[in-house]
Amino acid sequence: MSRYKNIMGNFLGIDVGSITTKMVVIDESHKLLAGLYLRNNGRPLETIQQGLAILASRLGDDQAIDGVATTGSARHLAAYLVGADLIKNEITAHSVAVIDLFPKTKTIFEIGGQDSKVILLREGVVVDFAMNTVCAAGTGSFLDQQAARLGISIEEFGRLALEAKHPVRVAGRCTVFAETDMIHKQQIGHSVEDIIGGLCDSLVKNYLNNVCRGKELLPPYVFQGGVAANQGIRKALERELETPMLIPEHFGLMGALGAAKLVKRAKPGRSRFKGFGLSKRSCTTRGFECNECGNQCEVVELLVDEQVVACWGDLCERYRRSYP
Amino acid sequence: MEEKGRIGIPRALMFYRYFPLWKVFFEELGWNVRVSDGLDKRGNIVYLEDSCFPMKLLVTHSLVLKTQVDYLYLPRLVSLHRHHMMCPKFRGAPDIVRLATDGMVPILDDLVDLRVKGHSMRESLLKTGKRLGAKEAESKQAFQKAEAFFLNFQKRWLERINNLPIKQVFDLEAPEGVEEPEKTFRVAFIGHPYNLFDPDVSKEILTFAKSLGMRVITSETLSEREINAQLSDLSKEVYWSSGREIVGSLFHFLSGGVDGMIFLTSFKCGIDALLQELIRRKLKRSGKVSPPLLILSLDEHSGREGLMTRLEAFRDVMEERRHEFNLTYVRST
Repeated sequence: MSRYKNIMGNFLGIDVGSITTKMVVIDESHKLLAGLYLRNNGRPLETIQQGLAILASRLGDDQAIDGVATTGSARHLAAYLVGADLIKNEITAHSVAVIDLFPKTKTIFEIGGQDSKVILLREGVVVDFAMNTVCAAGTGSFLDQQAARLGISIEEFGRLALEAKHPVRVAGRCTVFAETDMIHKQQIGHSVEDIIGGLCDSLVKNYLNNVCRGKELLPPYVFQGGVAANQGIRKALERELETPMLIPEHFGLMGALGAAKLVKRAKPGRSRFKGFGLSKRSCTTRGFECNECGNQCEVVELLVDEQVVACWGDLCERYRRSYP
Repeated sequence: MEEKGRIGIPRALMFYRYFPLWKVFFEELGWNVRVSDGLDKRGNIVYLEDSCFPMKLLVTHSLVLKTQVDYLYLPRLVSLHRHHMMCPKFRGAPDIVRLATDGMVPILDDLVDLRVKGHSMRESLLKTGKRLGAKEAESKQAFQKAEAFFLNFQKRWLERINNLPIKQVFDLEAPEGVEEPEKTFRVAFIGHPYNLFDPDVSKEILTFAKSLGMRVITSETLSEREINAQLSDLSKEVYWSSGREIVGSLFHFLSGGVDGMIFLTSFKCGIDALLQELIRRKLKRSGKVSPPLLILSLDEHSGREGLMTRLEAFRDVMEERRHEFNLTYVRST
C-alpha cells in the first residue's frame, strides 16, 4: 500500500499565520487527501507538531511526502522545523490556489487572523496586491474578541449578523473606537443582531477603503481566509460591491493549498521533510542577544531533542553559518 | 594641517544626499567631521513633537552629537531648486534642534534658498566658512574640491548602492565594494533619500532587495531635465522639490527601463500622501503595460517581516509579468 502511495507523489503545504496554522496534503492530481485548521494559541511550534501528528493519524505514519512548502508570516520558522523544500510568501501562495480553482478571477479578498489583503489578477496573472499596514481592524482576531465580549461563539456571530433588521452605524475606522461605539449602542438598547450587523458593515467599508484603496476591483471576486466563514462579513461585502462572492470550498486552507501546489510544481529531487515522527520529538526554541556589534541581534536557536538544528535572527549570519 | 575642532553632522535628512560635499568642505578647512552612528537596536527615538519619523531621527542624532562636537552643521534648506521648495519642516529644522539641545552647541544653519539670489549651496557654505574663521579664498578652494568630490561620488552612485552594504554607502572611506553578480530584475526605488538610504527607516530593505536578485535604480541617476519633462502635463504643479523628483522619476520609469518600481513613503509625510494620489491616477490611465508599482509605508514599527513578504511577492509579480510578455513576444513573431 505504502509503495503505491510513493509512486503517486504527495505534497504537504503548511501555512502558519498569526492566529492559526493550516496544513494540507495533496496528491499528484491536486486532490486533497487531508486538511486541517488549528489555532496557534501563541505556540506555533507545538501547533505544527500537533498538526503533523493529526495528519499522520489520518494518513498513516508511513505516508510518503515528496515535497513540503511553507507559507504565512511564520513560514521561516515552520520551514526550519519541518525541513521545507520551498518557502513562499502568502500572497503568491493564495493566488496560485485560486487561479487553479477559478481561472477567471480578477480580485481576491483574503481576510485572516491579523492580515488582510487584496490581490488583483488579470488573465490569471497577479498584477497588483496590497496588505493592511498600520491597522488590523476587521481581521479575525478583532471579530473573535468582540464575539467573546458579547458571550457568543464566532460561529454564532456570523449567523446573528444575518438576522439584523436595522444594522446600526458603528465606527469601523479603528477597533478601539468600534468597541466603544458598540458598547454605547448596547447601552441605548439596540439588539445584539443589529449591532453585529452594523459592525460587519463598517468593517467591510473600512477594508475596502483602506486595504483596497485606489485598486481597480473587478469581478469575479473570490473571498477567502478564515473570516470567509463569517456569513455577516460575506453578506456585507456582497452588499457593498453588489456582486456575489465566490467562496472556495476550503476557503481557510487556500494558503496551504497554494504552497503544496507550488512545491509540486517545483518538483524537488528529494524532499528535506523531516517526517511525521517530528511530532513525537521535543522541539523548543531559545533566544539570546548577540553583543558582537551594535546591531544587538536577537538570535534564535531551534532545538530538536536538545540539539540545535537551526539558527536565525543574526544579521551577519555568524551563527547561522554553522547549520546547513 | 592642525585640527581646528569638531563639526558634527547628524546622520539624518539631507545627509543622505549632500554628506560627501559637506564633509570634504569642512575637512579642507581643517575641521574634523564627526557623524552620529546609526541607532542601535535599543536606540531610543526622541519625541520632541509628533512629527514624521525622519524628523524625529534628526533630533535623536543631534542629541547624540551635542556633547561631542564644537558645532553642529545643519543648513536651513528652504529650497534646492530655482522654482520649488523643500518641505516646510526643513525650514524649521535648525530651530527644532536648537530647542532640543537646549542651545548647548552652536548650530551652523546658513540659509540655502535657490529661489533667492545669493543663497546657493555654495554661497551658504562660504558664509559658514567665514563664520568658522576661514578666509574667502580658502573657502572657495575648499568648495571647489568638495564639489569635485561630490560630483565624482554621484557618478559612482549606482555602483556604490549596489555593491556596498547599505550601511557603508555614505562611509566615504569604505572601499569600492565587490561587484555583485548579474541581477535578474532592475527595480527603481523611489522616495525621499532619507527614507531610502537610512537603514533605520527603510529597515535595510535595499539589502533584502539585492538578495532577491534586484538591481537597485534610483532617481539620483536622472537629470533635472528628464524629471521636469515628465511633469509638464500635470493638471496642477507639484511645488515641493522632493515631490517633483519622486513623481518625475516615477513617471520616467513608468515608460520603461525597469521591471518594477517601489515607492517608499513615510507614514506621516503629507507630501508623500499627496504624491500617492497623483501616481495612482496616472497609473490608472497608463494601464497594464507599465511596470508594476509597490507602495510601502514606513514608520517606527521595527518589524521587517511584513516588508519582506511584500517584497518577495513583488518579485513574483515581476517574474510572472516577464513570462507573460515573453509569451506575447513569441506569439507575435
